Amino acid sequence: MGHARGWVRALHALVAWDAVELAGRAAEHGHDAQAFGHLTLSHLPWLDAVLPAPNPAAMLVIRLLLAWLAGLVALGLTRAPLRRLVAGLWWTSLLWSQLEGFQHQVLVGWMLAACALPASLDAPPVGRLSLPRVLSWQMALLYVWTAIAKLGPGWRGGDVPMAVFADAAIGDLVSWAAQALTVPERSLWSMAGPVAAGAELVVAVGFAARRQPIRSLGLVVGVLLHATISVAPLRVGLFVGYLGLASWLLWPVSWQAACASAVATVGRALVGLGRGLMPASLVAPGARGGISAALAMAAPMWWWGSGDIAHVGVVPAAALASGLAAVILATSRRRGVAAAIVFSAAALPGVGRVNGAWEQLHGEAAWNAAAMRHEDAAEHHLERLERIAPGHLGAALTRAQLARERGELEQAIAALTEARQRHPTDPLALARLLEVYAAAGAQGGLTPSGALSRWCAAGDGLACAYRADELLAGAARRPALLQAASLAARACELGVGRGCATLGELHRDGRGVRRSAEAAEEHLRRACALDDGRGCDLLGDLLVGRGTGEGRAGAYDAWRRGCELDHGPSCTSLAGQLLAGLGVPEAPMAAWRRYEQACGLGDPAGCGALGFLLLDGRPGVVAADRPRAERLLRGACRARDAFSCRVLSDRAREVPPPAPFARTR
Amino acid sequence: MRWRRDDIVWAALLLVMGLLPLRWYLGLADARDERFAWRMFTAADTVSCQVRVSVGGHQLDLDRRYGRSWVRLLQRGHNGALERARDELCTSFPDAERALVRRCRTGDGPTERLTLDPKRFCSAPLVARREVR
Repeated sequence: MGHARGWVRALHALVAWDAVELAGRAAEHGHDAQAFGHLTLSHLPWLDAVLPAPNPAAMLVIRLLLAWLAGLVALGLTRAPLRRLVAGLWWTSLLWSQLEGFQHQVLVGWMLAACALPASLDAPPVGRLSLPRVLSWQMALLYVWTAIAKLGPGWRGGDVPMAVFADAAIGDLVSWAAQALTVPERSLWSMAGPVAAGAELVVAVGFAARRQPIRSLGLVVGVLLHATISVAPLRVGLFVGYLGLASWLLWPVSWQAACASAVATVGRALVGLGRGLMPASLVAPGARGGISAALAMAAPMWWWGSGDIAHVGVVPAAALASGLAAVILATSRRRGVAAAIVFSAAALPGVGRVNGAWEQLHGEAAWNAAAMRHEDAAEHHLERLERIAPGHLGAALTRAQLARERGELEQAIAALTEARQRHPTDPLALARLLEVYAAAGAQGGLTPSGALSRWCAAGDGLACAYRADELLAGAARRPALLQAASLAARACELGVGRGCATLGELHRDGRGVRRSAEAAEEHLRRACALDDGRGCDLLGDLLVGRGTGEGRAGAYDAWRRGCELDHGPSCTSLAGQLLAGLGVPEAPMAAWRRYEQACGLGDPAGCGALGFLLLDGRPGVVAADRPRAERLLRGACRARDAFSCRVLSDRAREVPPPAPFARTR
Repeated sequence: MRWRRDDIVWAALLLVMGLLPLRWYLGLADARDERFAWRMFTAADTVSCQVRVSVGGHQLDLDRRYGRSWVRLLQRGHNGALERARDELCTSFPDAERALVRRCRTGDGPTERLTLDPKRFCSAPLVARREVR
């Protein structure tokens, strides 16, 4: 296989992967033609006249077709005319998406166009500008412009704010490095922009240079840069792949490509975003070897990295098929069989993602229609939703809501009871069911407490935990406390984290059970292990209260886990610890992100802390924004966050603010 | 080595790709639309806007009407997208009362507000005002 032909194959393999991933987003482009405004928008206004309105079904078909055809080219099963079709489909897809895409997608368009011109690749480069030289200059130009964007203010506000990186993989790396080096996080953040710009200039020089060592340096720096900098692992993974591919075209020597692949692999693995490995590994030498290696890597990545669509049940199948195809490709010449397996498998997650996107759209549409009392529209979306995802929890909740609004409480109860049976550990279905029982209580003698007790007696652990909490919220009398402790213990035995958390709290305070720090810790650890965010938060409080270094380290782990479980108060506690450097190196940027997360999760203390930081700003973290600060503090105070109320009242009396975050939670 | 026809095509392509960003840097393009300026991870990435449009007193569901990819452009403060939306609303609802409010903020920067009131909805210039702190 000639070098150029190998390059064409690898490029098409990347395009096939890109198209499969983009197929998952087809549903985002427009809706049904009646409702859609037939509006098109392009960067170049004259294109609007010829661009059709995006249509989700057409986008899906085009992208899956593109994936299939590009895959066939990648495996060497087609000839030149098909490459033109692939280039045409790529551009069509890009234009129909309203040119929604990054620079590399335009670059890929040009590369595909080059592949569609056989003379560009098959003929020896006799002119001054061979295709490799054109692409190398193209890449060098791209990196010069992106570097300029980061060199500092003056270029139309061209500095890079930290917030850009805060959510990116590099954000986690900087936080981690700051803690490992025990240096303030902001000192590392202040270097991020210039370092990124410098690295991009090195890459640009690498592409423009004719000397091999400089080119190699540029390639390795480029791969490392893109492996760590972006917020979107897939996009960056593909970019790394395209970069490696362009490099492979320029330098047909295998060790550089292998080196780039290895660096990308380690880089992506370090930041835990493995899905970038597949395209990156395509730069491994030899198209067949590269593709088979890529598939072998992709198999576990699909398994691990696609939790959001795992319920569709296709991801494990796709992963297994990938692994099988990798073996066939690597060991035999049955490329036709392998091709069928590879691209059937590749299409499956795409379909799954499409289903996921439709699911979300119909779910939101049904909920909105129900809220606006448009029953017909809501029913229409619910039917679609249930067809895509039978037993969908959101559909059941919306249906129950509709029945409730019609006053048909029995139907609402039936819908929610069925949802409870399908999703026995989901608290939302139980909470809604209790609301309906409470509403029905006034009419028919049913009470939420009675229902909870009945379900608990029947072995429903979540109901036991709810009943225990209900009893604790109601009265402080000893019989009620004893009964609550007993119910919480039963829930905990049945494997419900909420019950363990309640039991741990009771042991901590000696209410209804003996006071015991050991028993409290044991139950709170179990709650946290059972994914109960409140349990993690209480465990963190217990451990940090010991005042030891070990306790603070344990608290950090517990709060971090709670925050990962979307428990707002855990995020607030974690942020406070990071801000104060309590047992961990001070990390104000990471603290800021955690406070934002907590506030987004509805924790008033988190919003109040954000407001407090915004009052005067924090150098290197956030600028002062008093109107926003006051809005946040007022909202938190209304939600009974004592700290926020105190800050507001001190401000009104012009008293210096309290010591930050030395607060009672 | 002499220049061939292919070389001229490639050179022209390179020139266009190299000069295309100048349109942005010279201020000829929307500052928040960096799609062809070869810029990544810049301040424009932190712009976040809330856009509310009402027609005849009812709030319009932009996702449903325009699609998410297009709404994303609106949420990132692209003036081109806003202008197109305004034109489309003027064409589709010529007689209804329309209003549009866009509120944008960067990660740590000021907040801007752009309001198109019903009286001059189709003719008012798209000018954002910085909100006073």
